[in-house]
Amino acid sequence: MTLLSSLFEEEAASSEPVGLPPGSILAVDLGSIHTRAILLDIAEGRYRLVGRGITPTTVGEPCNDALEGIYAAIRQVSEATGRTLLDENGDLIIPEESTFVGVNRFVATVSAGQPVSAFLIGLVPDISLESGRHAADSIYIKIRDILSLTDKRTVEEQMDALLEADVDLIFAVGGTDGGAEELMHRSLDTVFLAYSLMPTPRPPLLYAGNQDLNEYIDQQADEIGIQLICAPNVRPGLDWENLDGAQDKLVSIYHQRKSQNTPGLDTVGSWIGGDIIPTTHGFSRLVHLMGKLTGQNILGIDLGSTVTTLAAVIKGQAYTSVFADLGIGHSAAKILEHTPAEMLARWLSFSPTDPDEVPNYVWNKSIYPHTIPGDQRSLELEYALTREVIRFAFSSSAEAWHNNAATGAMFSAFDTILLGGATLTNTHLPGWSMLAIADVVQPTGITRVLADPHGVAPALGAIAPIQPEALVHLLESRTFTSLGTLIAASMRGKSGFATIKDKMGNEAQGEIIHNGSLMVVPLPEQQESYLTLQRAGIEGVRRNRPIPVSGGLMGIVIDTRGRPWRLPSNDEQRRKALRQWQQVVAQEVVS
Amino acid sequence: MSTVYAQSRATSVASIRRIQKIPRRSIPRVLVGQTVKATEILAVTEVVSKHRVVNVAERLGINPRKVEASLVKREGELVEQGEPIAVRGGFLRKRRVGAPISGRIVRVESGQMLIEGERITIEVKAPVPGRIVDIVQDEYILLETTGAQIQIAWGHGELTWGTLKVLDEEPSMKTDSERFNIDHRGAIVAIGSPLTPEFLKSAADIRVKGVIASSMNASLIPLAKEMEFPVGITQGFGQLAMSERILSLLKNYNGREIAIDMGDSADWRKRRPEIIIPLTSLQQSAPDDRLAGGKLRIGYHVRILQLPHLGEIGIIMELPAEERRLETGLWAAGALVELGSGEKDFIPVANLEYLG
Repeated sequence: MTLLSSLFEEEAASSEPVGLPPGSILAVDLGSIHTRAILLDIAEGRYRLVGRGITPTTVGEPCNDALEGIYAAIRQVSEATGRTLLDENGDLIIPEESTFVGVNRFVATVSAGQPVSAFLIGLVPDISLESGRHAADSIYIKIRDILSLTDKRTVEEQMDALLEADVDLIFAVGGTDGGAEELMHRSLDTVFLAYSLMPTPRPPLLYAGNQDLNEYIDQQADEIGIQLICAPNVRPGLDWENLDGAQDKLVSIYHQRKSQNTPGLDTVGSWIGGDIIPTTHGFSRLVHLMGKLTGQNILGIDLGSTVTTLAAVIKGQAYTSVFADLGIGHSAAKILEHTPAEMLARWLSFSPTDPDEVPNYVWNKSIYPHTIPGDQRSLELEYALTREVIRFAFSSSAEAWHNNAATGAMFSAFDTILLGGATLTNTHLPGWSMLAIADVVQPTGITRVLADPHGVAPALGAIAPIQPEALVHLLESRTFTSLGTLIAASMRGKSGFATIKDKMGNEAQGEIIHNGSLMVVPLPEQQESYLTLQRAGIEGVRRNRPIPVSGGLMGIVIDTRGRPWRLPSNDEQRRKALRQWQQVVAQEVVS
Repeated sequence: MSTVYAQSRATSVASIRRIQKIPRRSIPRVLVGQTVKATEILAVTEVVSKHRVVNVAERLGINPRKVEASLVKREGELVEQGEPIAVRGGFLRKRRVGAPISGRIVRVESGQMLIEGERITIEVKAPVPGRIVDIVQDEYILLETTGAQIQIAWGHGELTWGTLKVLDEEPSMKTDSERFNIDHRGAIVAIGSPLTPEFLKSAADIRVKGVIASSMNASLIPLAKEMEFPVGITQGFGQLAMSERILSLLKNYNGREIAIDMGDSADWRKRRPEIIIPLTSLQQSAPDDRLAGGKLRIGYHVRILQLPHLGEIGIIMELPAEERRLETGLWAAGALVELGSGEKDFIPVANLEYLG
């Protein structure tokens, strides 16, 4: 089986146990706002999602204990499935004692709490340091300072910076394997000198640079008494990036730090028998595996309260960008450091009452991150914020992913876009999420838009190495909710006719597509049909040739606004256009 | 689901537990069970201000291996800026190297000397008077106290103590910046209306110790952060009057010593900024008002955290079992809340904060 064999191939390189006997799996995700639990079990020979629970996260005051929320979410799963999961001491019953008592496997993903703080050491900003940052994107990390060849500080100043930083980790990369050692020696000597002056406890040193220096580093670390963690070079050659080894080590460091500073997670760690995985790592691993399994170009957007993760597979190449301080809740106000409030206001179909209305909303969202829009005005403000957070993350990723070095333009012909995070996956408002994606990602051609309302994606990414069948079964069983298919023209053309036919060739409905507009053709979820367009200019679609399309909550959304499209510059026209598009997508959900 | 996402306090008697973070490698100066006063030192740590490397061999023009013999100051010794650390030569052609900074010699190696600058002592002080409940080395010290506690929406600035001066009798939307007099110097001033730039500037001129207002526009944040005193808002961002309940509590303690602790924004925002009025006579009598299981009940006081009723305080009249469709098209579990005006509205649980 292609899917399984390719997954197992990946596992050969993993340190986690593989090929465990199939059985029930409990997965918990500790987010900044919500704590979710899902139970996967085998029914009729295939893994299925059999129960789920969701509660407010209890990491902060007044509880200050992650376990309270985790227990509550697990109890909800127990109530929904009739399965006893916790014993009288509050410990997870693992392994399974009988069909309705305990589980065989447990995985946990975490995004709540403070990121790991790190000092990054490297040589060339565009080479080793860039790879170091890519590796760091597997966890929630805050790079406090960077030491590189372009650093203008004196050695004393660099050393003082290292001593003052008071970080959780010093992460050193640099040099190609077999390359020159002199410059790297010099940087490392500054680091070791600083270490020798640090009182204990000292942060661990993760080294993922020129492997020829390993012996020297080992000897120095031993002499000074530093916890040294060595990983394969993240940049073994100038054109070759190798992140897996360093990322595995970073995940372990994250687990250790989280267990220490998040009350309750030490107990959860004892249930796992492995590492607690950063949610971003689980989510991006799932997106990368989906790309590998399907051969498609895939984009995953996980819009969290504090963190936004973008993961993609483009032409077989996997990418991840983590924005550790950019989100729709706790870190909402951060967007105002990158984006003027007017950029958010342009997405509003009304004229703000005063210039502070938008920043006030964003700041209130930052102090009350769990709130949901209470009226139409706040709904528009919420999605204006959503659009600009995604737009900033997406355009920043375009640079990091080197999608089109010549033009700087982002690749946009995605076959599938997977959405995560409560705002984008709210199945009551699928049109708003679809519209936000069409507006800021601006995909071209035919794109299936999936949503993960139950937060299954990070769990699947975490489970994949230990139970690959579960991943395959759940992906095949439509675990994600389809919002629909977005068909977007890359250039404006003439108006034309769109016809939907069922599989038997019977015409179900026909609609005129107007140029420069959005149109919705209802097609229920899990239903497949053929669409014929009497119009050119859509990548992958030939005029008058039927194309297979899948339905969803929104059915099929045809976007003929062209690519790239811009909002009308005239305020009245802009507001009118926004109102029209909102009306198009705000129609009743297709059942 | 009626499990509430947010809880805060606006209460006259509460048992308050406060986590005071301490830097890594700091030394606690208190013991578990000990009673401390406000601003009493809980832990201290020392940090080195700077380091300097002196290439002694190069400065003296000698082989690095011969540096040892020329040293007049050795590892571990203290030096003053300009004081000789190494000398070469005889009576007539003497070369000397002076210490570039005052500090301590930490290493001499390969002809070079590393001098550590003077150490700066950092003190971590008790935010409130109380009893030490727990000490976790390198992480935090947990204190417990009893007092009135008002958790507010947003704040900026250092922990401050001062006498509370409430300027308004009623919540209002009009802010008068001309009301200051000499009595307000060194006081923590509270108003029931939104902050204005003029009010902040007048407060700075009269040299208050802190300002508490109902709300402010987000565009005022940079100015608030420039102030040398802490600034806090009780309701949120926008133009909102202070809730009757909070203003009434503040008025009850007018003229009392209070602490305003705006927290550390880098501290993962685990905790709200707050106003604490310690009540020593009630040290052991405060009930635990934490919401059991996080579940809302009819009759509870709640604060509304989203438009169109942002900042208003109401009472839960009904908790419908089923989710309801909101104006936005969203479906949500919620509560029927009676607002101060007497109006009743269905508010999603996600937009409610339980007020203890």
